[in-house]
Amino acid sequence: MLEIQNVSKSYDKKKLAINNVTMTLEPGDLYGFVGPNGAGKTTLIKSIAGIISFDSGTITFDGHTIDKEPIAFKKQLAYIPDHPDLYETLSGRQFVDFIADAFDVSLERRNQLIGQYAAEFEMLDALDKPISSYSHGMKQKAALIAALVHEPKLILLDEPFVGLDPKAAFALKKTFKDITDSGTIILFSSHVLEVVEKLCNKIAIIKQGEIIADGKTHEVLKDRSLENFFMEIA
Amino acid sequence: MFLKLLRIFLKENFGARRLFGSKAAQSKGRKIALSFLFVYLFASIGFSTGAMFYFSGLTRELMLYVASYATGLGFLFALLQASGFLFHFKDYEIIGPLPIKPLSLLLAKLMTMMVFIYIVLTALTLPIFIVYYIFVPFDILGFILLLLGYFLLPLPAIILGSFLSLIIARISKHFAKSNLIQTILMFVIFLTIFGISLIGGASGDQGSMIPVWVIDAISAFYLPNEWYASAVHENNLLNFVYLLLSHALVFTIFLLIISKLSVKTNQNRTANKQVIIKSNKLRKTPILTALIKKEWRKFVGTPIYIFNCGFGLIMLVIMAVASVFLKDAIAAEVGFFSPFILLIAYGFCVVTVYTPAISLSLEGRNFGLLKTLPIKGETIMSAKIIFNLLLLLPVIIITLPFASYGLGLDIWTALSGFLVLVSFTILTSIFFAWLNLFFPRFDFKTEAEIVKQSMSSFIAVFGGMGFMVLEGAMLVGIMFLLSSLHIAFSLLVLVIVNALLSLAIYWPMHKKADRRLQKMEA
Repeated sequence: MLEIQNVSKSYDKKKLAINNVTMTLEPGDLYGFVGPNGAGKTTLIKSIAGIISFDSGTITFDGHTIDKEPIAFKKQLAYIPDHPDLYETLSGRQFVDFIADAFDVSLERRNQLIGQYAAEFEMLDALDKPISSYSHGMKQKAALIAALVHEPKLILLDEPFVGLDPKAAFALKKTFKDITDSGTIILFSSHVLEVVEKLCNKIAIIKQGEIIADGKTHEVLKDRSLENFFMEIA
Repeated sequence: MFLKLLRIFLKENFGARRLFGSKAAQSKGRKIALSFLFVYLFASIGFSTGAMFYFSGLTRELMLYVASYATGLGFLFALLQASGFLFHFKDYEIIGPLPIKPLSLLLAKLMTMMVFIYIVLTALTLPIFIVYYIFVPFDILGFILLLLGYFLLPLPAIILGSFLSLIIARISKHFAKSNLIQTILMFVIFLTIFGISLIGGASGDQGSMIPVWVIDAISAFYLPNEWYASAVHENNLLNFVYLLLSHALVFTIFLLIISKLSVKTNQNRTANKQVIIKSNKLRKTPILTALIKKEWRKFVGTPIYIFNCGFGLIMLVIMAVASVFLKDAIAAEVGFFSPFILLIAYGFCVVTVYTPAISLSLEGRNFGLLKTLPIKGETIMSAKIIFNLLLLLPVIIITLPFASYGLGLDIWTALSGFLVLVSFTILTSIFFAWLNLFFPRFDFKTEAEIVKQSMSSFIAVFGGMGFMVLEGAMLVGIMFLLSSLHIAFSLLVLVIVNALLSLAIYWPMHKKADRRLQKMEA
């Protein structure tokens, strides 16, 4: 379980980028995180991933807090930024291999999973080419394979559908469903409201650093579409 | 994990693509030719320096010189690169969320930075060591101490440079124009060090071609240099133990402090103070002017760029002012050679302002955007050349009268010298632009890779100095042929040579610029 309690963060000591955010994500949750540009989505996701520090509050996953036990916390986590800036001198396979090393994935398991996800994302041929030759979408796919290769219990994604071709987007949605069924938590930000509405069992809407709606998708939306609801409140 | 990280970081930073640029990396012949050029350049500098010391009977001072060099370069590189390597990782979004111990990560980053420092140092000092052992009997103990000491020497300077780099970054972010403040602070540090070394050596013997007085002053002030020279030259083991213990201790403490500090600085990336750009007045300007303005904004907005390419401009001002105050001393020292001193000093500063050699590469990912605009390639390159001229020519025009007065030049020599410098500035600016057109590199992670480590920046500085040597030889030849005439005539012949050379480079570049730019890929 991921527990975010009273987390606040300011970049300039004046304006809060995220203000007293409290959320709980349970095993199997597929959580959609939406909000206007600059609302604080990326800040919160990066705070959970341990990329940026926060000023107050706690972030705990399965009993480990990100600020006090970062290694134990990160062992269960995968994060994919909106523009994955991967090591361009490596091939896709070498990059995935490096991430698998960081998480101590057995050779047999990594081979199996790389093969599986490379096939799903149609990266079997491209995986042995240098990342410098990849398009944005291919980098995104390589980052996804690297994130999935260590079977994390918590996956954080910032705008994961940007740059993906329709087939890859479909494969990603299917993968999301499959791995949340096995108990993994996924939290992703997106501006594609239709995808969030159809895919996620829970949603959160953030505005000016504050969570203004949060909960099970059907309970939050009632009989409205996410687009209409978003336009009303954000 | 440490070794795996180190391997990846080294490949990312020093792979063939990083060093030679993507096009050159594909061509084996070009790679070999460029490697040969590097080896030749570094070897010629190192051998000539070593030989100069030996023939002046200063073999011990040679080791002091190497020690000062290692310390100085270690400091310089750490000051310029530690921020990116140690405190603000560019790849933190990839490695930050990984379960890697901070010390392993920091060590891998630090080693990568140090590999770069030691590669440059070794390239510069290896020929000096060879010269040393040609003239001094080889002994195995001295050689071991030389090697071990050589790795220890730069450590305190790297530590100092790293912390100063962090302090500068912390201070400057509190100001609206943080880049400008960062640049000013770096200039202040360098000019302070420069001033201290001059003051420290002011009372010494200044008659030699070798700045022994500076080397002695640094060694008197900074004991590890003396320990190193004594350990290598006299096999003084006690002094080596001092060197080893002091440096190993300081470095261990440094590691312990920054492994935690590095996590904090990477996580606490607070926003810089916001600048409100008053752009309510829109203005239509010709495309060439717009491009030059763009060059200016890039120049002042990139600390490493302005620091490296602006240093020559500052030095021109300092030299001109100093020459007025030291007029009498200069007259006594240089006498007949004053026109040559003027041209060498100005020429040296001119070749360090090499913006056209890197500004195309510095477009980086924006190059794709530039390519889509309906602008001719020759216009883009012309803007880069004109920008460099606009940086240099006003400074030359303002400072040259002072320097000419300080050096006691007559009006005709000063005027012809001025024309030589203007023509030389035009020549080098065109040559630099031509270089970047042939050695572009857009896939950099930090601007420092282009400004300090790219092929075109290296060739620009050394090629510019090559032009100086060539022109010096030509001037001597012309003066010999026109010995009955005033030196101004010889200088005017040089102006014509420069003009012809400029045309010879500019004309084909102007013709091919468009096609070459269209072929490039960012």
